[in-house]
Amino acid sequence: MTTAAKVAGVLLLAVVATSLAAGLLSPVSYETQFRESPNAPPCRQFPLGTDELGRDRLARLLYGSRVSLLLAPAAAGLSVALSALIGITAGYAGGWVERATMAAADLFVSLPWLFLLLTVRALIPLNVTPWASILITFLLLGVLSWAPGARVIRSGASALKRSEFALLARASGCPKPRLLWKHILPNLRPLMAAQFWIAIPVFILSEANLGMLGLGIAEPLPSWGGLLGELQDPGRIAGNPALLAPAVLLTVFLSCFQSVFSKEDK
Amino acid sequence: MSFQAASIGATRRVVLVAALSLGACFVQGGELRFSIRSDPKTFDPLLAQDEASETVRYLTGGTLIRIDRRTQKFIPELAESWQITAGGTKVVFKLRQGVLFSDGTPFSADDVAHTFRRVMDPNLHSPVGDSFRSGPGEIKTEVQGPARIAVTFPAALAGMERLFDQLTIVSARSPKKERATLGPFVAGEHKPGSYVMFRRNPNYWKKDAAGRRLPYLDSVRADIQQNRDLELLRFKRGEVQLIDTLDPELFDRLSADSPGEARNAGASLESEMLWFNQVAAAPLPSYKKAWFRSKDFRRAVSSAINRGDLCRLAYKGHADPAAGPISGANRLWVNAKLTPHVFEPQAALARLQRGGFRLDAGTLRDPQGNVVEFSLATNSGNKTRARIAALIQQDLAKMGIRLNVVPLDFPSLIERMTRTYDYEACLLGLVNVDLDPNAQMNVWLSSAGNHQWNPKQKTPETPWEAEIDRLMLAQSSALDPKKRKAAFDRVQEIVWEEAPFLYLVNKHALAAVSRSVLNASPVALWPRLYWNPEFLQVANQMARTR
Amino acid sequence: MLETVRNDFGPLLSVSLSASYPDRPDVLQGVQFDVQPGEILALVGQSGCGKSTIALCILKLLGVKGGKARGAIRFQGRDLEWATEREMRAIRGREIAMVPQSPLSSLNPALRIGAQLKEAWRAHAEGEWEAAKPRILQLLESVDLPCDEGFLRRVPSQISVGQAQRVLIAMAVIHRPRLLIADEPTSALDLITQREVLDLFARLNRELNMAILYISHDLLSVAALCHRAAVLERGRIVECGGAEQIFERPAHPYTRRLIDALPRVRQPSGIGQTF
Ligand SMILES: Nc1ncnc2c1ncn2[C@@H]1O[C@H](COP(=O)(O)OP(=O)(O)O)[C@@H](O)[C@H]1O
Ligand SMILES: [Mg+2]
Repeated sequence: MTTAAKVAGVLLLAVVATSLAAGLLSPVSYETQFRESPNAPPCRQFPLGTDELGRDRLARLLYGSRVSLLLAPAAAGLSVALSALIGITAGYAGGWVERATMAAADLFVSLPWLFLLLTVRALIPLNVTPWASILITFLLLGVLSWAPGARVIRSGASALKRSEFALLARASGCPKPRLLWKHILPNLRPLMAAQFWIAIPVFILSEANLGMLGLGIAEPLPSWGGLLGELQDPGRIAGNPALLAPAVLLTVFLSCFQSVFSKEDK
Repeated sequence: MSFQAASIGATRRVVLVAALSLGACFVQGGELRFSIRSDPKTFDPLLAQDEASETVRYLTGGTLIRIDRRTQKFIPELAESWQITAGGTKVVFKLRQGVLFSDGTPFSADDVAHTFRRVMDPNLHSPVGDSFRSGPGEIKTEVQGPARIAVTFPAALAGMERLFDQLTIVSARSPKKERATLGPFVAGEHKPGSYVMFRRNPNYWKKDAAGRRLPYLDSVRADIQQNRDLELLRFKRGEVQLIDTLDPELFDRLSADSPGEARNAGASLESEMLWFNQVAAAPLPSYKKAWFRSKDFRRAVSSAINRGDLCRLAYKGHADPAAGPISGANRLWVNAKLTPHVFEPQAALARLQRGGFRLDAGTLRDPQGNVVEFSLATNSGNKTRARIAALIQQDLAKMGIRLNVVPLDFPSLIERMTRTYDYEACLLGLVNVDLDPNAQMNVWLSSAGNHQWNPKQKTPETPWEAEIDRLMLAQSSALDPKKRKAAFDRVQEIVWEEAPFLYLVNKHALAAVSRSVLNASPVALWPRLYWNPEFLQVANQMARTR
Repeated sequence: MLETVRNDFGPLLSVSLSASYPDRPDVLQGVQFDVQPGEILALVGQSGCGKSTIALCILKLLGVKGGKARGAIRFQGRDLEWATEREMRAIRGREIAMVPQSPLSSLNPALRIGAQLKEAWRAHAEGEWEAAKPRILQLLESVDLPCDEGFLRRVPSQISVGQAQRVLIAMAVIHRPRLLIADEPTSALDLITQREVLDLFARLNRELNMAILYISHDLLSVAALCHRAAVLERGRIVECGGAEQIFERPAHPYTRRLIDALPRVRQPSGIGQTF
């Protein structure tokens, strides 16, 4: 491990630890409304200031990190696993299975998602707990985003299947499942890793968009998607640079995560 | 019965005041620019339904009677006077003479008759026409001379004057059809997605106190701009001079940057409200239905909500706690005796406890021991409403009530509200564009589809709803405005007492007016800023100062 | 590394094949030849004439490339036509092994050399890899590769073409197959390395009594190594016989053209003498 990776690792641990220990670090709850001091600038009591309702931004950031940091990578992992499973099956099986799967992926991408999500929302009772709503949201994100990744992985897998080294492996008597596991999968890892890295920030932000459909993370729970949403209005950042904190934290988190884990790949 | 004398007096005064307020500085010509949200769907004034088309209609159309947006009184425009007779089924107009359409064709009683024929043509499907249909039967017009016309309705039409504010007179003879107008401007170039131009109507009949022909402006340009942030940016650059609606945040930012340009016209006609689903057939557990149908429960929730905090935190102070269905901005019809439900959580809790609810370990339970928890559906994408919901959530949490806020997309919300009734409580905004209670019949009648808390009842399910039904019908057929007012005041009292809707706040009408615009004064009524377009002036390089 | 010569009767491999690709109907048209136990048979012919196709047919792997084969393959007296995929898997790598044509692309870029050797070994062996390792290192030594752990930890992009070729040869002979199909194994090598590889094949043939189907368009190496040669032209065997005979008295005009196309460093008649 390089020094940079070590530093990144320490930072990453720090981010994860602080968000897990949010309850200890932040004396106030993310939902307590200090109604007498809304929109407070950073000060001793509120290191990052407060939001419009007087809620401590630091507490919200820490709790929001907990939600987003744990669930977005989990959902990204789920999504990549699904893409890989479907993509590799298609690429490896070839023939009509491949054609059918890719047609399904095309269909899936072009489906009117909004309607499906609305249907899902209609099926969930209105009185779900915020945590259940979050889990459903990220599960949906993970499950529904397989198609583009599966296409990429499918084409990778089918090229690898036709490769000279796969042929040689067969010629040396390597059984098919082992060929897949030992020869094809390791070569797909960079592709899958790329899918994973793209998915995390996308999911963090889509969670906020799903909130539009009554699916995302409901009040009063904070999420990075919601916190980042406040950045849409550039006029406010000028007034309170503390608003940038979630964006900075997200960037730090992603780059650390990447530098630590992609190093370990090699 | 007639009100014309008083009304005309009022008008003269308004014109005079407007003329005097011009002061020494007087500017003729120039172009006024503001933004509208979308392209007008139609330029036919009789078909206008969307806001952009109504803007076109307002700037270009001439009407017999106008509602003065500032005084909320009726003022004569193309009608010099009018008289309502025959038990409110007939109105006789005396028309202004010597008035020309924008293309030079003269205006007469025939045009009014033609307008009525056209607007009532069932094939035209005019929304304005629909508002005149008081009952089965024809609307008859009788031209009694070039400047006199009588209109007879099949049934009495209480408060009919306000309907004429919407009715643009179209020409019977002009080859340009409805493009020939009687208003201060004529619609010019329309570049879809970009702008609509309006040019000065050289034949406009109105003159100012000094005898100068109106309007002062040469042209008006309505830019099509959906993005509110961009709109503010363009305002700051001087590219548009008016903004009719600002959200509290942008308003505060503008007041900080250029005080004097951000203008608060006080309480608007918009209010926020919350209601519980009282539909008997709703797919909800029966114990929840029992809560929602209990007046004590509704009143307790209402008293647990800190309306002052809603105004202060969700609206940055640019709203007032609401007392009832009619905002103070509706001066004629508001029941001024009503005050907002007081914020008294202790009393609210006591009220619930008297009904058998009890608070244990921070959780409120109903007499059967069910945890008091319900969901509050609202439309997603509205930041202010999300804040209101979060504030109410905390207020109720202090009472041991768990509130789950569920933002839904608008179509789903409407579906639940009107078809499946699969919701518990709902938070929405309401705009009463029309001041007259007759426009709210579809809300208050228990048989009505918009009787949101329990729509389409075959017979009123509660005595108080039966009483509201009776009062609303009484006011709609009464012709004496005092009787109407008394009946509607009582309706407001019942609604206050029974709290089927918990009225939360009345937003302020927040607007922006550039310093270069003279005579613009924002009002609560639509169109908030250019309600007097003929008197607006713009002081810029383009204009010629006289 | 000696193994007793099996005294089977009849040829080790006997082939009678036709093959086609979807867009090329007659790649092989009735190709017939035998390989005797312990024999090195050369398969020569211009590139594109179907040599690699034959190699794949023998392993019943033509399907991987989208082709179809008809005809009979008898190996050690067994008709492979009816062999199941499972049975074929047991034969591939253990009974019949292959050294592929392009060394670098035949190694898995994502796997270390050690892991690739291990995979080849694991395909037909049970037990601990660590226990088998010394033998594998010895094998590497015998193909003139560095036999330290450091080399095993390299990935294909860190070794040379010649080394790759020898890794592939080592992988092919791990299980001491009866028949080694070497598909142009020297094409990627410089002359000196080529020479070493040819010596290696000769040694393996001698020491393990391993039959080799030596596919090449390089007549010089064929002459140096092979007992017999078969000449393939556009999917047909046009001549088959002792290597000496073919070089000295080519019967078929195509064979003659092949021989004439050789760079005239030495006289064609002299080539045979190197054998
Ligand atoms: N997968 C394939 N699909 C179609 N044609 C192929 C394929 N592989 C090889 N061929 C064609 O079959 C012929 C024989 O190929 P090959 O056996 O590789 O020749 P050689 O090994 O003798 O150079 C060539 O003309 C080649 O173009
Ligand atoms: Mg070849």
